[in-house]
Amino acid sequence: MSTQVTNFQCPSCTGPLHYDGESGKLRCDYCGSLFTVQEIEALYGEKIDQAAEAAAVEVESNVTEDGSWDWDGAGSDWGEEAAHLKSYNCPSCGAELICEETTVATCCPYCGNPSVVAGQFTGMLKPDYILPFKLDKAAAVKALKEYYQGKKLLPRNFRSENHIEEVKGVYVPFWLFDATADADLQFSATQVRSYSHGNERITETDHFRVRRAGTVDFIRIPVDGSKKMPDAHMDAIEPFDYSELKPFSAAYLPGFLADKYDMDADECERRADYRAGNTAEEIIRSTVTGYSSCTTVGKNIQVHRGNVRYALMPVWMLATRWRDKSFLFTMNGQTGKLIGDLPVAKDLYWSWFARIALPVAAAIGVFLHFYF
Amino acid sequence: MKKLCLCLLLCLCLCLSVTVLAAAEDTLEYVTDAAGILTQEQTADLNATAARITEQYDCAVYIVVLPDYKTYNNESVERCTEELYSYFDLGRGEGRDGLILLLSMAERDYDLWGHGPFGKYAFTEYGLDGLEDRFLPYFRNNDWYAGFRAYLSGAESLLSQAAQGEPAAYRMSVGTKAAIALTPGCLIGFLVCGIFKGQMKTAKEKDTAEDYVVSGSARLHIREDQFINRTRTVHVIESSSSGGGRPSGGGTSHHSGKF
Repeated sequence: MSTQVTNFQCPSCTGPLHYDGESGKLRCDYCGSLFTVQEIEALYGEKIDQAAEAAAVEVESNVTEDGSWDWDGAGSDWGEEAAHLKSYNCPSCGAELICEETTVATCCPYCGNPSVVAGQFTGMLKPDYILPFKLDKAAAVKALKEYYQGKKLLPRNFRSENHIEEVKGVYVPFWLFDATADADLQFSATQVRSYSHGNERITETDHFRVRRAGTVDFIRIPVDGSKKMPDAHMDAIEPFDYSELKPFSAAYLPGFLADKYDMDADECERRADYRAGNTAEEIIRSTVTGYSSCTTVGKNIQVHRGNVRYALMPVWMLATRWRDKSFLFTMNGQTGKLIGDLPVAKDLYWSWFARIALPVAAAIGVFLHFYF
Repeated sequence: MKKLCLCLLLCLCLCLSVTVLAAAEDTLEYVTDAAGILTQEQTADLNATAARITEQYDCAVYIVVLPDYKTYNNESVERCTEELYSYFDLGRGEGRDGLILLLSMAERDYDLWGHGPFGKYAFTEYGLDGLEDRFLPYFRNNDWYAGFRAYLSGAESLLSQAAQGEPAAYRMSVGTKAAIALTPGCLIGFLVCGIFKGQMKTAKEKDTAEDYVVSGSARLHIREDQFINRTRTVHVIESSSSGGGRPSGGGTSHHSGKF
């Protein structure tokens, strides 16, 4: 079982290696040596393949004669959670690692060495692409502090009392959908012309039936394939710069956490269809110009699905706690876009309301006093 | 007898030719009751009051009560008032400043009209609105004498203000001013605070995918713009008069209606 997990150790001193987003290389925590992804792949490629084979063997050994899964051993001691847990041994110190069944990369809590569960990448589970982290943990913490700036309704003591409980760099599984959307839209539109003739005001309204049908192509609409990740957070940190997508390599994982998907493409494609359909409608509707009014009276939108790719995207998760409430912030590990919901101080809300409403009311009141 | 004569005179003046009218009596009392709704004492009292006001402010104040204005002018009660004023050369001074209230009893019509430069200065739109509010409640209760007293009292008040250089103008109450001032203040306050609040919530699901549109991929297959029909509406441009009246070159707008 231990062979399912791979450590990436420094060829010079055997210290643990981490992927360094700034340099785009793997850096040794101890001696500071830098190694390219290709160099580490060459050194550890065989080891990863062996780990994957070991995982495949274990999968086969766990299959019952009739081909169904054998769940007898699970659930007796750990309850239902056992079905979603897996144990591995750290190749560095031998400690037993208890991970979720979707865990792809983690760190040993005892020796701190980053570990990659290569068996999770076998067959259909292997990602097509990976977008390496460009920003590190310090950048994430700095971005969070800057995020508080300019938030006028943020409680006064939030900055000082809100403690960061955990900062995790996570490669989140995403499905990337290519699609083509056909939109056939019908509108009722008018052109209005007004003019005066003598003591009459004449308004002429021309009514039109307008139809637009067109096609829009989409490439790599991202939908996160992890139930653990809030969709609102994952959507809000978009977009990613796909020009930096790399073919998947486990060498990018050390130093970060990674999960494999637990929602397959079929479960996620409806969200991609919905977004593609809405955007196609907007684009086709924008071609109706030159009218005073335009109302949609009918629409037929069809989304044709294209290629689906599986990719790991870099996300920094920052969990904080303030007055027994948890706050989750997420940052795009490539672009640095940070989002998250902040608490609203009611006293500041009404204070700002008074500071805005009263001067405006006073100014209008003075005007009314002198002119009415 | 006097009322009968006046009726005949008015009939003659307004229905017959100018030549005939010119031959008739060419002046009116300040209070003329051709419909007989006032007693002689009431008429005399009102006439005296109107004469006093006229002398004091050099601006004539008239009351004319007719059985039916259509007997004199079939067009409108406003036109009848103007013709009366013009024919009898009513008003004071070169500008013929004055104010006339005409009541037509047949269909309970009334018209209130100011004339002349000082008349227009003294009897502002706001002032005439307030004056109407003073006498109309009495007329609706057929309390003619009280209504005319209220009319004369109100007219005197307007003339007094004008004589002091401050003709009646619309004065908003403090409560109304406060309400008008606070409403936009609160709206702007809520709008700005709403924007501030929106900055606190940035985790939102996306409904669109504009970032992932292949550049230049949008193409139209069908582009149809079919003309269906044309509709045409015509609005007559109304002049800015109140109470259904119409403006006059020499006077205020008419304040007329039913009582």
